[in-house]
Amino acid sequence: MLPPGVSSNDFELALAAFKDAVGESQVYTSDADVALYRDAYDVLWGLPGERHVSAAVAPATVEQVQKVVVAANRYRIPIYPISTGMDLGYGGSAGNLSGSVVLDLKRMNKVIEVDDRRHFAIVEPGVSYFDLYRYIQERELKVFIDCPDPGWGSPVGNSLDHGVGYTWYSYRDHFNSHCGMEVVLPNGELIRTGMGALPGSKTWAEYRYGVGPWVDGLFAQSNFGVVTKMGFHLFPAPEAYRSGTVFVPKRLDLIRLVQEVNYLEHSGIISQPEYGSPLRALVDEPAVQSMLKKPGGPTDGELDELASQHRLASWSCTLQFFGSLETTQANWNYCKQRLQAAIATATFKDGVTHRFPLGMDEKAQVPHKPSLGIPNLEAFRGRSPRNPRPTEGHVWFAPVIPKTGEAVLEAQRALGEAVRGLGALDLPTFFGRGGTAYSPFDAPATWMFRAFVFLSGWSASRSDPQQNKKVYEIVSKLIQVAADHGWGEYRTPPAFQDAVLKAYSFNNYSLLRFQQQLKDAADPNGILSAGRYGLWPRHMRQIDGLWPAQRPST
Amino acid sequence: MKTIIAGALVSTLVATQAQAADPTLLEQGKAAFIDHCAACHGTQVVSGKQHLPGTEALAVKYEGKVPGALEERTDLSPQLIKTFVRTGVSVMPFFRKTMVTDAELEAIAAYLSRNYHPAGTTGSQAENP
Repeated sequence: MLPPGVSSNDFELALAAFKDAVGESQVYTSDADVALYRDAYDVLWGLPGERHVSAAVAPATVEQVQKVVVAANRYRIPIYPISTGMDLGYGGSAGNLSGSVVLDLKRMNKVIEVDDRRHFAIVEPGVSYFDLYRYIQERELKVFIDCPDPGWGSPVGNSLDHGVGYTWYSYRDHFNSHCGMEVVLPNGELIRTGMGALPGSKTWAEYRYGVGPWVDGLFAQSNFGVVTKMGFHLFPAPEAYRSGTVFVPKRLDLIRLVQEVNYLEHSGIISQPEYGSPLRALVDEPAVQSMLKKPGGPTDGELDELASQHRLASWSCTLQFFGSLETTQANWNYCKQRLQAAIATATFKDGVTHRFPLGMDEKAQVPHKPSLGIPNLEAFRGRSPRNPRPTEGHVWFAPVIPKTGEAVLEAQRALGEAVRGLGALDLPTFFGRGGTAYSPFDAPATWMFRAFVFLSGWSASRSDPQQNKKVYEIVSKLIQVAADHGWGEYRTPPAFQDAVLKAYSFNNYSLLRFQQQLKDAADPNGILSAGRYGLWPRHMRQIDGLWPAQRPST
Repeated sequence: MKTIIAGALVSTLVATQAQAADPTLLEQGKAAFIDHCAACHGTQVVSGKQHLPGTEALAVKYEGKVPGALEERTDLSPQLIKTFVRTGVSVMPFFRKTMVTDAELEAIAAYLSRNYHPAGTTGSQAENP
């Protein structure tokens, strides 16, 4: 296929220029090679809205990236940069505009520097979490990485999509923990942000702001440049880790629990809290399923009765601590004391203790390895005894809600009602637990240390377009319901990016219109990642000056 | 899919026998398997006495009739390995050539098929990893 608006002659000239820049073997145009850039977890797989690429180009150096971008501009070729391209569930390696040429940066895989006295790393986009972890381990450097569940992702790519992880405080917000970038602009010019703009800077990966307007945010979830290097602040390797869990008996105890845990987290006493409900273990019981599926769902009283009958707590929260054995114990003791004073009926259970560094066997036995900065792929437990026929992929719906117990309960009601109304509870799943999206037993994710993300995972299939169509309709509806309640998404795959952006409509889309002004100035030909997070180039904004002409999705 | 796999089975027999004689290729294949595949398909037993996701998935799928660990299989042809890396199956996505190069895939396929015995394998077992 051709890129939209590009003649076959110009496309051939562009491909020749790309081959001249990167070498013929690193320009992929055959049907078989181009098919590898489909999003393996695309909710639109097999439907009219699925995005297909026209070619892919894989540079190995910054200079090659610049040549490719200049050529793309010359021939008006839309390009879409990816890092490791494994952002499955949020769009993978396909972009927003069918016919784009993917700029595959996986070959740019150098770890430039890791400093374990000042605790930072500088990496290229093709470096994966596995790669960075291995680099650190081989050199016995005294730093931890913070990684998401799949270790095959890229620190650069993940942070540029506002990705998240599981260790200490600000390190979990990967974009927040970055420091300094090198970027190829849409005109091919190279910039370095922050202190990198000072030649010979000694603090590029330490002090992020430089001086004057800080432009780094323009390159995240956006299309203002191709990031070719990025610095990250790293967590100094702690001496020890400890966990402990607090349990509260009643459903509405959640409100005070969240308030107290917020205090502990925002004060720097605890690492990431993990909320859950012991009642989730009952979800497959027929009586509980009936309760969940009835109009309006179960009442708070019914849920308290369920908890009482089964002698289970309504909520749990696992608190995590990093430090020394002594400080982690002292902090856990303090947490118990404070929580007991706030909720008299709370009970506690000690968790695990680790002293670092861990041996290989001990690492293997850690249940959730990213909590200790260990990259892995164990989250991809699809087929299992519990789920013998999983779907082929998943897509995430990720609304941000306030960090209160009240908001959790409200989101369960509003989004749970929407899920029930859409008949979504019996869909097959990736992870083997059906019928619980926004159930009374679901808890939000706590990656962001100043907000909750009430995540739900939905199936994507490479074999059933009708199921994909159903899931697309469900998530589209959830986006609308969430927006009606003041909850916007923090991240979403290309299939939903326009819909999500349409919720951010304050003052007649004044923020989007400002971003468009900047986009049109920086990328007048609109070649870079057209449509990423709803930011379309000028020549494609046919509707209200904001959106492209409608095209069928399903 | 099955037509492609069936056709590939015949053509790889001679190639397989040739590759098995190259210890360097097998070493490269093992290293590439560790880099690209072992996180899901390795033999490590992890928390809760579970196998890694790919090994567990295959053990469940085949109910113990063949080993869940790819390294212990004797019925995987090189072409089959290459096909599934480039097309994906179930939750396993397909992998681009910048993630797993053709040369690495050739080596991984040689390594995983080092004990391949097509004459002693039934058609159904050989068609699915």
